[in-house]
Amino acid sequence: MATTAKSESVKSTGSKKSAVKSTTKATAKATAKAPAKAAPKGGLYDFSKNMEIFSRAVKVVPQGIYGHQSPALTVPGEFPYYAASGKGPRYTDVDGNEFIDYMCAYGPMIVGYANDEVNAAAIEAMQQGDCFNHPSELMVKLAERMVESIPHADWAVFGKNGSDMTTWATMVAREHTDRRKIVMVKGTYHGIHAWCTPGHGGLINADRENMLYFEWNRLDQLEELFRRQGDDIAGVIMTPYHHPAMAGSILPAEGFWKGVQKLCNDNGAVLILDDVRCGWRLSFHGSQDYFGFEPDLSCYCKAIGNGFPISAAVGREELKTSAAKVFLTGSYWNGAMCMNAALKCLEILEREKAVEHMFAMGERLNKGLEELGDKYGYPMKMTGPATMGYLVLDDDPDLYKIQRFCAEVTKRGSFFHPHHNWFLSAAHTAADIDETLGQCEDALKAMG
Amino acid sequence: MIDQSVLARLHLSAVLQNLEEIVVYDDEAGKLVQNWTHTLQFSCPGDIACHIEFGQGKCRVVPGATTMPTIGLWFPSAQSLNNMFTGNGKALPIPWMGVWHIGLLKGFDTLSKRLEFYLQPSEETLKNRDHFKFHVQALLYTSLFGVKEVAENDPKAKPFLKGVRDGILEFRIIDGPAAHVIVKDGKLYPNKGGAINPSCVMELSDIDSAYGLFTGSLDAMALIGSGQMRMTGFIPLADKINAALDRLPLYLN
Repeated sequence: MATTAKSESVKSTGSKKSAVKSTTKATAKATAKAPAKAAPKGGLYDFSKNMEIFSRAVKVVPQGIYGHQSPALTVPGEFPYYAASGKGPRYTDVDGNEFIDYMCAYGPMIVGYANDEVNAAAIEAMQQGDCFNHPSELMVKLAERMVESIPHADWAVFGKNGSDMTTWATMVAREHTDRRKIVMVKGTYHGIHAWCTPGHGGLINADRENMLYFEWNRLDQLEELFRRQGDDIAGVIMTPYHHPAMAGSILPAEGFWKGVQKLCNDNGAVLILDDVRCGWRLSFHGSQDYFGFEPDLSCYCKAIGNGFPISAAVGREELKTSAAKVFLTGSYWNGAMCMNAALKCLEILEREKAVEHMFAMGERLNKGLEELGDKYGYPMKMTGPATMGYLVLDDDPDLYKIQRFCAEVTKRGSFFHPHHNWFLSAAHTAADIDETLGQCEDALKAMG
Repeated sequence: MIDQSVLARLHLSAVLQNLEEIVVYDDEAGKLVQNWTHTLQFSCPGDIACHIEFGQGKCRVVPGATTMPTIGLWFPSAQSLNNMFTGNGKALPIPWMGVWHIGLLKGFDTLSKRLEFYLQPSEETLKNRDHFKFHVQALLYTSLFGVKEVAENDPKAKPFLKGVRDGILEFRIIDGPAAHVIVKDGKLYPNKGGAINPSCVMELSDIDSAYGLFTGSLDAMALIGSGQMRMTGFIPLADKINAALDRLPLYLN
């Protein structure tokens, strides 16, 4: 059955070594160059310029802002809409409001906004020329880096978005097995393509005729799917743990992943790990390393290039021939700039022991939040791994409390999303976390 | 593609329910029904029916059939019932009960013209601010009573409600009317007026924004972003219902 992070984590949160005082070089650099503007004292943030730009946007852009950054998914009018600049763990919106950021661009930012090293690597490649008739050697270097650092990776390919890779991976599974069906967990986000988009528009019934669904942690349901249609199941695609929007995260129950892997192996189906969101935030070696299982294919995006647009998929040797048969390309996909940015980003993550640092910062934040919640009569708990927690307030089935709390904190200087898991980065410091907790205390006082 | 049975349900449930307000708001309609103590029923194949109970100068539109209406009109198909509402093609209802109350049918024809006056108002009518507000209220009620029929019966909208949890979505306009939809076991139950403990609230800042939303001249997400529409609470409930609502204009344009 479903379990939360608090009740049944199958693995503890990475290293317990305190990184609270061991500020990394990357973080120190980022903090030193952070904008000088302090969080508001007394007065709350004003978003009038944000709203003004939005009123222009709606005339020329459908919805003004579409997709996951739509204002409708936060609390409109009480959150920023447009960013202006950023450095380290902080960014500034078009009204000049500065935020300590706990969304990290919804995951891509992992070593700090405008990271000097990553930017320098990107610029260096760009100055040599980015997009040619051919890939650069950097593509090979990046593939070698992926193969070297991810245990089940014998090869790597690259794209631009997570959806590029998840969709392609399902095609590789079909090519490899000569079967039609793909299994996924209900309510999981795997991208914007017709087989998986959470949207309603533009779909026809045929889009999902070959999709099968089961509930997270319900190994019995997956067994039943294999029992009934196992000879037509090409692959099972899953995220490392269940992180739906607008609901607490659920970690895998004891034995769940091993069970999934065994079912796939026994039935000749390809196990695809969608590590787009979690990649490099649970383990440097892929999230399967954190939870202890072995997928056949893994998809990455978000954090791999610290925001430079690049995605990747890796796989086992036995899938390489099938992978070669599934056409994969895009106009800019082999550009050198993002490859070099990714190489540098991975170098920093490994060098700075970033995952351990993010866990330490996340645990500090979670502990502080839970203490404040108890103190002010708003009990709350963080679900999911500490590096990318999802906050749940007690007695809040309709989410009114979390919406109010996140809006109050955001207006005081820390960006808290009310409906999506948060993200820590290597650039967050203990001082940042403590400053945020101070804002949280003010917010809770204001909530009365 | 329009499903005629869904359209018939919309005519009977979402359109006719506006008579309840019209006989109160509109003098001509009020005078017409002040002495009516009748029940008028419309039905067609597929268990599609509603009856309207008149009494004490008011009326109540009730989904489903009753056993002893004053007049019962049976249409041989959903299409023919729809023809009566749209004025296109032949309607040819069969009066299976109360055929001698022909005068009442003529009166109902006059009443239906008042319905049309407010549901499809001329630009001139909308210049009257009270009429404008009444029209927006009718749009709100039509939308929420209509979304039930679309969500439960339109083949493309039916999947939207799969797995949706129980709750109450309230739709309100500041200084204006409110309505809410109760979601229970995958079915929708629309109601006029505000809800006591809504799970999700969609609040429009003013009547003009509401008019823009319901007539499609303003984009919902743009209204939300600009603060003209505020959405709080369990947003997935609104998301699912709005997805069904988006299909309503295909039927009731």
